[in-house]
Amino acid sequence: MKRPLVKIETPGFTDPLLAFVDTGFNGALLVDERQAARLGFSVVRNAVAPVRLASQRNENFLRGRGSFLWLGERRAIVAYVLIETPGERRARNARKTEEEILIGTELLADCRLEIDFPARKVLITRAM
Amino acid sequence: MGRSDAIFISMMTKKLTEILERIEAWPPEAQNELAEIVLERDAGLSNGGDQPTAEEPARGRRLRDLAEAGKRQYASIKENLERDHFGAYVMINTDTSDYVVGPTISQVDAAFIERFGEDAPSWSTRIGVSILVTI
Repeated sequence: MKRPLVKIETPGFTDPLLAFVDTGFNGALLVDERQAARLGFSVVRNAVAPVRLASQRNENFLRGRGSFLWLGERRAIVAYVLIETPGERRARNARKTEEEILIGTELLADCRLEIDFPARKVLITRAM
Repeated sequence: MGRSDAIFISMMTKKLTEILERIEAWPPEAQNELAEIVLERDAGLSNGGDQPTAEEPARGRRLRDLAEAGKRQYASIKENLERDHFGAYVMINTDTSDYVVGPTISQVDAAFIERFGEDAPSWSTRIGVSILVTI
């Protein structure tokens, strides 16, 4: 399945992060706890937010507070952080070959997003 | 072997050096799984085992209780909020049932901290519209 992915240079990660641009996600950022720690986000341990997945299942997430370098500008944002046991996290990550985070429409609100599926190109620019 | 390689290897134990040589022959999935364990240890997120840490069950219960309390409290104010603030975000202090409303999750989070402090337990949602993820 083709998915719109962009590579983002982020402090805390040696390799560029792979970000899945999820226009069906109306938050800013969705990460796991390890990614949140490496991005310098502080995960609020007693803050729960329910999120509805495409499967229509509701899942609880934690919130993470921090700043994120986005299109050259550092923004204070609240990220949704997956709640997982170490075993669940390990099983999920073992299926992946690269670090992946999710970017939603809150980050894209002042941007132009162009996806050219045949050319396999995703372009995000700040809207004038 | 170059000079820098010799220095690098001398910092590892003989046992680890031998293990790393054997791991090179593992399939990529198995290498990734091991890398995850090492990264978690490095980030201080786990005890290195497959079993949950001693805190995991208590943490799970605490978050489930918090989610239930938040849902219950939201249900009692939902009608008014959906009438007056549809599409905005609400964050409820589950200890007191007081809440703040704002246009984005970031703004409502900042307002919540200002009013209740960083340690107050909270439950948040978007009013009348679920927070959605397509995964």
